[in-house]
Amino acid sequence: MKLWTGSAREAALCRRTQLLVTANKPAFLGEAAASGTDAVILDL
Amino acid sequence: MPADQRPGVRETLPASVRALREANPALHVLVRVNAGEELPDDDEAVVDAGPDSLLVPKVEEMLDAAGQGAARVELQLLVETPRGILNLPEIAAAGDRVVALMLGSLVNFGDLPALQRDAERARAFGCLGALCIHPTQVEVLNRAYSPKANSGAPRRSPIAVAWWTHRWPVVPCASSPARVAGSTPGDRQALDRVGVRLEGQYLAATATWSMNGSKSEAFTLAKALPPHNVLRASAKSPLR
Repeated sequence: MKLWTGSAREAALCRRTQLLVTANKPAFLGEAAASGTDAVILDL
Repeated sequence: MPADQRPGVRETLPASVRALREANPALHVLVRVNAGEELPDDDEAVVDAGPDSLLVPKVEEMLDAAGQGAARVELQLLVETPRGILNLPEIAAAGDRVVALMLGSLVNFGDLPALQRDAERARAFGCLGALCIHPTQVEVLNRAYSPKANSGAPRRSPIAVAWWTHRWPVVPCASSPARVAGSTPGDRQALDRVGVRLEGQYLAATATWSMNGSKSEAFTLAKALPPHNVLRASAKSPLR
């Protein structure tokens, strides 16, 4: 069974976890960066 | 974030981006800007901060997102309104900087069975992931969007499309145009609510239209709504 026919970029985006962190909480940034997420969104 | 805190946070945004990259150089750093009148101020702050991507809410129209040089920041766009849905093909085709679209509106995060149904439907349309706002949603969404949960290959699309699930009640179709057209411009909040409801009603048809290339519904009622967030780039904007 073929599971994926999209591009490598599509696959990367599909598997990517993005963690949203409010940008007024700098104390959370280190924890967010070390959480294992692929991306962090700073929420303005 | 409270509006009165935003000016200070804009000033510290470059330091926050640097801190994230120092803590984890492989991390992809995004900034979610605000819609409407806040966008130009946020945009200015983002130029200095230099993130990898922008997450832009309530996008309704996309003007020249092709981008050049150092300002080529990736764009992930939230299309949340009827006007945005109406312009979805143009938004999606705005340029290769647009790497993801997110469709939909509001989540009732306590209704996990409904979340699962929405996720499975969105997956069938070809969506690749979803936004969520509560940890209890993660397992449901991972299960729905995991490749092994699907019997066939997902349909190809030029960009990633995520489905932001909605749980608003749906306005009866027959009465919707009159209600929207009859609303006063000052009643923005009411229009927003109507817009969100209308979007919930038409999103499935629009997603089908987007994927199949056949316009299956008329979205003229969306034109009665005021614009939310037209992306008009300034000279030094990363949106340019």
